[in-house]
Amino acid sequence: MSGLQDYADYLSPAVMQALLTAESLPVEQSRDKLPVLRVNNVQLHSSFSPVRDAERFIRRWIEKENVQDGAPVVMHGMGLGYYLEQLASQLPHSEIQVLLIDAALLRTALEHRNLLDLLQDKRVTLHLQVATLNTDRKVAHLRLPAWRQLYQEQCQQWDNELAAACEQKRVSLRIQVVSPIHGGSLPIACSVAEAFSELGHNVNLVDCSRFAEARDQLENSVQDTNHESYLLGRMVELLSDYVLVEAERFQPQLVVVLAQAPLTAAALQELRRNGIRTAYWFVEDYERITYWQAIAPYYDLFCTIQSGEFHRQLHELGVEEPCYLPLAADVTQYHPLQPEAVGEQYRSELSFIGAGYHNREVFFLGLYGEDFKIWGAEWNPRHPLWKCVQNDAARTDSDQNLQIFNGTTFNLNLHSSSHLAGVDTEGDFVNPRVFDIAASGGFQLVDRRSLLEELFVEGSELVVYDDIEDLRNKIEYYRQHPGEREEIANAGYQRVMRDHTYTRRMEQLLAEVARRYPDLFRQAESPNSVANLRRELPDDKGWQDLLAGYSDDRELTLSQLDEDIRAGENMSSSEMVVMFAAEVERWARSKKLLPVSGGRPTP
Amino acid sequence: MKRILVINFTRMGDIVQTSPLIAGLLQKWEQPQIDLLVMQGFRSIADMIPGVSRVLLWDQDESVSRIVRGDSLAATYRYHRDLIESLRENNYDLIVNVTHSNESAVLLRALRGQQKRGILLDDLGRKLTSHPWIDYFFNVTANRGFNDFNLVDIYRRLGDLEAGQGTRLQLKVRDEDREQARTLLAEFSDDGSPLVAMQPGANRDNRRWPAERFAELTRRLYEEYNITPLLIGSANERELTEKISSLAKVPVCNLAGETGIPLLAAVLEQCELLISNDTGSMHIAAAVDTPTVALFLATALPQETGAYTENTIILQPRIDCAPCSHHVVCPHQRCRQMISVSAVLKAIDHIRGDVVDFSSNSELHVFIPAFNRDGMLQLREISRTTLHVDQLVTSAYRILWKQVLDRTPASAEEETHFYEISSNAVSEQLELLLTMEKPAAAPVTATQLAEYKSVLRQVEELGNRGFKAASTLDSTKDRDLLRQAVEVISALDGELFQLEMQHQFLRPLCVLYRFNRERMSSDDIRYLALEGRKMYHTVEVRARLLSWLLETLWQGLELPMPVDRSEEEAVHA
Repeated sequence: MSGLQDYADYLSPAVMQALLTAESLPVEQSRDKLPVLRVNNVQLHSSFSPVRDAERFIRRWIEKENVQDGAPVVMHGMGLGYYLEQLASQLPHSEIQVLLIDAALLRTALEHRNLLDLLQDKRVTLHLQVATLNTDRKVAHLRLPAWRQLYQEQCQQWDNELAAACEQKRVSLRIQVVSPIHGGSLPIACSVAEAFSELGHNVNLVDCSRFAEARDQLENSVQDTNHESYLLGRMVELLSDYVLVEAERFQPQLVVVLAQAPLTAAALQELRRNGIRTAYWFVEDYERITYWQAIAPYYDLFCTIQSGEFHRQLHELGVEEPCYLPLAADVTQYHPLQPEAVGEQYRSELSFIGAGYHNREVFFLGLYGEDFKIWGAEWNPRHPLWKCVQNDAARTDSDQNLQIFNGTTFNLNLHSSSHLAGVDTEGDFVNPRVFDIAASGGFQLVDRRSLLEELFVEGSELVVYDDIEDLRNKIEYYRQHPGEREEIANAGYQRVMRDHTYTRRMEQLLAEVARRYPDLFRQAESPNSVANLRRELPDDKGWQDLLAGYSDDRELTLSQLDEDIRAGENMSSSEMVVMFAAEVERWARSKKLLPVSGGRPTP
Repeated sequence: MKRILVINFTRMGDIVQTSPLIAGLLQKWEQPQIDLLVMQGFRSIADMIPGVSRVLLWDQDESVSRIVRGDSLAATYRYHRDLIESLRENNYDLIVNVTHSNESAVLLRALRGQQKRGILLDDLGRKLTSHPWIDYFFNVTANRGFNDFNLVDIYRRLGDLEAGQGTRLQLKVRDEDREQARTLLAEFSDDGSPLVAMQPGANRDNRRWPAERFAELTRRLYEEYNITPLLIGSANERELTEKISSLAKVPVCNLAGETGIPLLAAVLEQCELLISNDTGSMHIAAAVDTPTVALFLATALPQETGAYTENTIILQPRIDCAPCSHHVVCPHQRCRQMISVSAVLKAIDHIRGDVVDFSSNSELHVFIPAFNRDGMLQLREISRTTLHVDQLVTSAYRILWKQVLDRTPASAEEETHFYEISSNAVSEQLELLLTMEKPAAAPVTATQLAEYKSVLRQVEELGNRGFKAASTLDSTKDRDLLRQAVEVISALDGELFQLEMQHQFLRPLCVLYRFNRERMSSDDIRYLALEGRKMYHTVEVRARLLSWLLETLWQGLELPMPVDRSEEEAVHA
């Protein structure tokens, strides 16, 4: 029997953590001497032969639901693994995502059964919440009756969340994205806007970088700092009004604001008065940049790349539920290149891209003498590393970055600190470079961050170092093992594509919005989607019967409904109401009051 | 107490034409409650129909605008549900729908009533007719040329009214409206000179006598008759009446757009005469006993929609294409020019009691309606006209339908009875036909009649064959015989249709057969056999009776007897 730690490599850190703190449940034996569970007097497995029972159940379920091998499955709940084993073996090519009821059940299963093979299988993943499921493709849902009976509330919540996630995917919102005037979050704003478009929403990017020159002019031409800050404040107010004017024109349901974007609290209140939801993505280190204190409470959703202490402080400020939303990669910008596409000047064994922060100057001295190129601004020309610094410390653009990531054998990443000497041992959030390097297919060595392990698997998707000694050793090791390097880079790339694109991230953001404000999606939904029509007239049984045969995402028209009614027999009075209205519509069409092809006239 | 609903989703004139039905139902039943359902825009006219307990309304404009502006499906549904539910609150003994429209068919199905007359949806969503006179009503749309019944009489038959029940158009005119009309009209006729109203508008442009003619008529009435005409019409027709007024260059009183319907009725009541196209105003005038000179142009068919009164004279251009189909876009609109101002003035003279001879006018049909002995209205042509075989057919159909729609003779005795009871009608029709000139080349017509009779004999045979096949379905279990019977029946429709396409005059007979056929839908072979027998027998008998009527009328006209072609063929053989 394996120990719990043996599973660590195959379970997500969140699941592992929950597992270690859970207590296992007492098991019984089936007639054929296998462990089985009874909870509140309900058998989770057959007390006669759990394997045979599971085999039969899964076979029937596959037949009944007509599940094809290869189609992804979400299994709602897991007992001691008998059903999961059968599912994995009867659908040998299907991805299986398991929603765990609680960690105690899992712990019991792992203590009494050897599920190592099952969980090593990359197709099988365990999840504590719906949010981490990948439901992009059409998923078959396996729900076991006994479990539903036992864990009714939990199962119902999953269903609701899945429905919300599904709804979110179907509905097209009008989203206004507000960018900063400049800074690191400017390209993120563009990526975010693209991601929303990709998800099928209508996007209006309010690009404040257009006013960068004006801002620079103000900054440079006014000497008195009081005057300068007064005028810059006025500029923020002006741009806030501009955002409001754009909102008036575009009528968004949601405004997503990136860090540093010029938007005053007064403007936010105005948006709120107009029933527009707002979300902020604070892609900064809260300890270093503190303006969040002034704005966080005015947003409906405040997203951060840090959690823990930051969230506690936000709580104190009155932000009830801050949302942890790590950065991601813009995969339209960062992707693997053919070797010949990389310019000679961008090639080296080691490289680093980033500004010359104090900790970096200190740390990278330890690599002095290697084939090491440093790219980025604010490096000190008098520092010994200056000879590694390229292009007189000019800022690199993303095209250069892409070539550098692709032209480098060891891409180094070190999170910045202006006061520490090397690796920040307390560091939590993960910088954009982690995602960009991985998305470019680069092999990456990055300093340890507490939030990194949820995002990438250390040692298989990227390599983590703790100090300069560690880094040097690892460079040496991987010099000797180019095959492993390649494997890791490839796995890192796959991971980004699956979990860390901006599209995926914005999906998560919208899932959070949907969870908190489901009405937003309902209002945005076409009024004639079946889901919406069902919500109307809930007490009209005839109406509900009319809609019974249609799937939620179907969009109905009067004439379609009329046609379907005519195809059936024995008209109900509700059906006659529809037919009557459809005749009126037909008449209106014949009088050219409506376009012949159907749909509404364009205003 | 009998609870009755009449549905009329048509326009003003048609609603006035429903008034005899309502009056007749009031006579037929003891203190019935009669509701009238109309479109919101026609509420004022519906309110004026005597005998109506409640006017119910459907706001069609609201329905349409909700759909056109793109209300959600749920909102559209809710609105129409509430509408239909409010109408469903009543449980009627009888619902009569005199509207052709599809939505009225759906509504009729949705409403609660013991007996429903009109087109009605069946379970499969097909629109079926539900009463022999509804069959006829819908047949008229397809075969206007052979229809000789006024719409009002068809409506009356839908309520099973007898002669003497619902004999005239009626509208209630309130005293305050009369008072207002008097005040209004006093300005124009303080000397007590006669008031003549003119309604130059119509629902379609091609049904309007030209404005120039109305202007000339106005001028001549003023100059030759010392009459200042009143121009009436809706606000939409104001531009037209102003044009006439300016063209006329004589004083004219333009009331277009200044009278609501109740006031218009009161104004017309005080007029000596109305000159009008085929319009709602024409029916209102008839309902308040004001004589009319009616100008029937384009699609307007005087036999069908002429005012239900004897107090009118109708002018219709004598042109082969009249009445034209509603679907035709006319390239010349020649008919609009065919009625001269002088002809209208002659018609006015006639109304005012002068003896006028229209016989020299070859451009126009001039009709005066009169009630027949059976209480139904029929037009009499007072202009000179030549007898045509189609007139014979129309007259024969008129007698036939009146007698057989309610009940087709089912036995030889009943057929004999038919011949007896028809003799009155035959002689009445003969009187009318005899006023027409006999064709110069009678033998040609005789040949036509012979051909008609031969075709009708074929229809009779088809009906007989169908009757026998349907009887086989019911009487045998022999598979071969059954198969043969089914084959005969399936072939019948095709053969009949072919005959119908070759011979226009058969259409009314065949269309009514088809309505019957469409109603027959069942999985029960016994039911099909029984209904089939009845249906084919009906076709057979109707063809035989029609043939007999044609021959009898022919004989009465003392025209040369047609040569029976089948006998001729037999001789040749």
